[in-house]
Amino acid sequence: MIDGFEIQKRYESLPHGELRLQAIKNAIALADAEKDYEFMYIFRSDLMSESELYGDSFQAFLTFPEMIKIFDEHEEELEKYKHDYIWEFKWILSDCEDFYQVSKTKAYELFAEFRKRCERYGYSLRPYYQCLYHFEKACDKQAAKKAYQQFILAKRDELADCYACELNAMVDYELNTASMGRALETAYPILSGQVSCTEIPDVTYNNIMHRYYELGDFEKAEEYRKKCYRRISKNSSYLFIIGDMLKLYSKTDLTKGVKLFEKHLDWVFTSKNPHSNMKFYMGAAAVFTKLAQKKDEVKLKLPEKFELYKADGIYSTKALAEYYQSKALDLINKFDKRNESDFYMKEYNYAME
Amino acid sequence: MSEENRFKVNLRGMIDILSNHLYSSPDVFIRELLQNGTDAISARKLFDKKFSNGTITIEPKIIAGKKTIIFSDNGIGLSYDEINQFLAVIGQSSKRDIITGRISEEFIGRFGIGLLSCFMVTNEIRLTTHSAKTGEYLEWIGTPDGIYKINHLESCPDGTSFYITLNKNSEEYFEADRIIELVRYYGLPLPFPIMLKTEEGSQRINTVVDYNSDMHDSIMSFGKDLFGIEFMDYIPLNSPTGLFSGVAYILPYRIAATAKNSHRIYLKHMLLTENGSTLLPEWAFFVRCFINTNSLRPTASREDFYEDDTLEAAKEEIGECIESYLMSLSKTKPDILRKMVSIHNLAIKSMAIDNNELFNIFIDYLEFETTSGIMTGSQIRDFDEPFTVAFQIDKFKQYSPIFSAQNNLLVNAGYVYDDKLICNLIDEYELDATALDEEMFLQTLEDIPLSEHSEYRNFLDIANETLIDFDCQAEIKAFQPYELSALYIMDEQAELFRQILHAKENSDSLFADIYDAFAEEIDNHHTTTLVFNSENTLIQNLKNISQAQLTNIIKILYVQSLLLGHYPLRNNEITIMNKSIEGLINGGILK
Repeated sequence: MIDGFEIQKRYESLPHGELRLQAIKNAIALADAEKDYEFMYIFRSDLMSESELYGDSFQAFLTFPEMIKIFDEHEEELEKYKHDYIWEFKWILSDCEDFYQVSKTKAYELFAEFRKRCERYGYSLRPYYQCLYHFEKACDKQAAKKAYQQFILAKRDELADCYACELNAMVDYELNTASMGRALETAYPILSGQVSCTEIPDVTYNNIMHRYYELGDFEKAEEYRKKCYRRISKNSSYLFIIGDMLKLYSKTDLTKGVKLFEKHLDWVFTSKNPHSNMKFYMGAAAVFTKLAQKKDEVKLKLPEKFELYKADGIYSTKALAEYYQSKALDLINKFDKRNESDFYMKEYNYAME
Repeated sequence: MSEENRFKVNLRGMIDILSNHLYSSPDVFIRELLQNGTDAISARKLFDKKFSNGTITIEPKIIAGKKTIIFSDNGIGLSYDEINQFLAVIGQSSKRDIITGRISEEFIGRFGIGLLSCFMVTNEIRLTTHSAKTGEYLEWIGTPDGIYKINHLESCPDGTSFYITLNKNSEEYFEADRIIELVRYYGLPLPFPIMLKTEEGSQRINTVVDYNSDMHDSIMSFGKDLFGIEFMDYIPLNSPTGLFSGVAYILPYRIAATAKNSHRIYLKHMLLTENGSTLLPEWAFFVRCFINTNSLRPTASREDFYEDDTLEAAKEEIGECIESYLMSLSKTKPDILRKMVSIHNLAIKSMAIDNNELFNIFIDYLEFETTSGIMTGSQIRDFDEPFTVAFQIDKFKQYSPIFSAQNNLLVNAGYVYDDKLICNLIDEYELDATALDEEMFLQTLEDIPLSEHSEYRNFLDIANETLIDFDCQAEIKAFQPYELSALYIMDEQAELFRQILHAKENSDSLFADIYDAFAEEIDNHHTTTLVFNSENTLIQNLKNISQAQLTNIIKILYVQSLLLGHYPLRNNEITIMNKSIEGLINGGILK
């Protein structure tokens, strides 16, 4: 028998990211070899957390079905983890937004499966509707509105997101449907530091920053960009936020945009999250397209693995612009096709203005 | 003359809010009394410019057979009107007002909501007060049922004295050690004396060392006393802009980056938080800090700092203080520098990746795993031959034996921060290094002599046929160490494809279809190769055995090489290996 808790303690002492992820994978291999079902489940659950909160969610997406299978096959022994796995299923529903490879049909099947399990265990459908709202935002505004309204009305129970995350969802909705003033009022507990969690206020700052950016109030956007960046600058799971910041810089400060690009390009090489990559490419396309209008070349310190790598560090701004336009549009088309909308193309067009 | 009145609120409810929702433990009554006294002294200083000897005195005393704490300040005191005004505030306020800060700090700190925390340890609050403003001498007695009395007195000491008769469950607070512990915890840096008065006499219990001018030993001793740890050294934290002052003590042992460190962070001399994550740089997990700030804003719940530009500036300044101390170490205390690097390797690595100066100071001492054992940055820098860098730990492990056997240096840059540091080292000193590229590596392995090609042709044909189901091709090369019979080489895309297949095999149809969509996107030209070693005796002997036996052995070698490379096995692979071994054994038995 393995000493699973000792193994867990060891990998929990590692910094978050690739190192911890690898250590957990090794732990999984050990538990699998010993057929220790409980730790086969626990380690996979930890892998999911690590991948979702500090990675690109891809590993979580690969691990989840195995985890569910282990749970289903040993439900009696693992019943105490029921809440955990349903919670992690929520993450998978969120991941459907990020992976265009999940067709809309498949996404709805996953939602239906989640709903079935919630009903089976007597959980409220509040998180179901909350996840559906997020998914539909890029697909169908009316469906998103309907899902949101059902989310708000559904009962809160132990499966609901923490108060901070739920409040963030409400702020997000109001940013897109109500006035800025109202959204900020709703956001007050987050912005004043009363409520927070692993991802909040980071994501909230980004949402507000993005809305100000869309409204053309770049000064206010920059205020929130600063608050956000100081919190997220070391966590590669926030690659999509870097993309949003690049879009802002493309309209306000190209020099800073280039620096931000240089600093975080590495994150893209290890990211298998197409949504995050798309956002980054969009931001990079915006920065270099604008830069190409001002100068022909730019000096950058980029890693060798970069496809357009130049040993002398001198890059054609036009080449970079075209490169990132192409990469961005490829993913934008895939997402919009899956979502049956032009949500991301509109975002891209505004960024390129 | 005394007057009996009733609080205009459900006082029990308010106490419940305080004790169950706002305050984590009854200990906080000491904090509230300290805050109250501090505010009273500050108010008296504003009122009376000549007042300069503010003092709080705490006296545990038996009064009428009961354990009582007398908590006195010589501050501004309270007038009759003020007592009623604050109580009216309690009556009108709600929890939201407390949380949102609508009730000002002064009200919380002075005779107000904070004071009600005393009801967690007593069933009666009695105080005497002499108002410096009005000259009134008053006594106030309040009980949790909502009744309070105000009496006018002939006289009483200056300021305000609280008489807290401890209930049975709270008698621990009568002990001098407990009082000292809590006073120092909540208010150690308060800028006036806090005296503990006992039968043995009076002693000041909030003495803070001057970390800018006091002797090294005194400062170290202060840290040991405060945190209970024999630290390695200390770093004075002096903000050039006056945002904070304090000291950071360097832990004498390794600590995980994710461990929760207990700092003592004070706002206006009162403890705000033990959690340093908002104020301290992320990499500063190897220190324990004692810091006071008068300039930063707390959050509405007063448990942490509000995130604004001032906080960011303070964080940067603290980082600079620590960095400049570390930079000076190389000149003034190189032995401590070496010790620090060996214990706090990870913290220093995380600092060095973002800071050029620190990188230059520390890189010589930082340690990296290589096929020649642990090498420091200076040893790698001085290595005057080309070398290879593996950016994944498993790849390093897999290829180490080959590189070692060939006397080539392979550096492991798979650990966190090492990848950036090694890259910086290579760039900075223009070292002749290349990243481990498996395809390229394969090309460097020695081809077998032409004369042996025909001997291995049959072997390779059968191997390729056997391995086709595993999406793998076979090759034969000559390499050291000769004990290694085969090496499995897989490029990144192939690895990803394998992961997806593995996931698909272990999922139901709901996910299986999704994984097909992922798999379709993987470049078809991904490569996996099983390279057999012609220098290995087993492989040499395999040239001449029967096809059936060879097929089994190839399958075994395939799975074995996957295991050596720490690749997760697909469902069929263990089964195949077991069946193959069985086949061999049966073949041996039946012979």
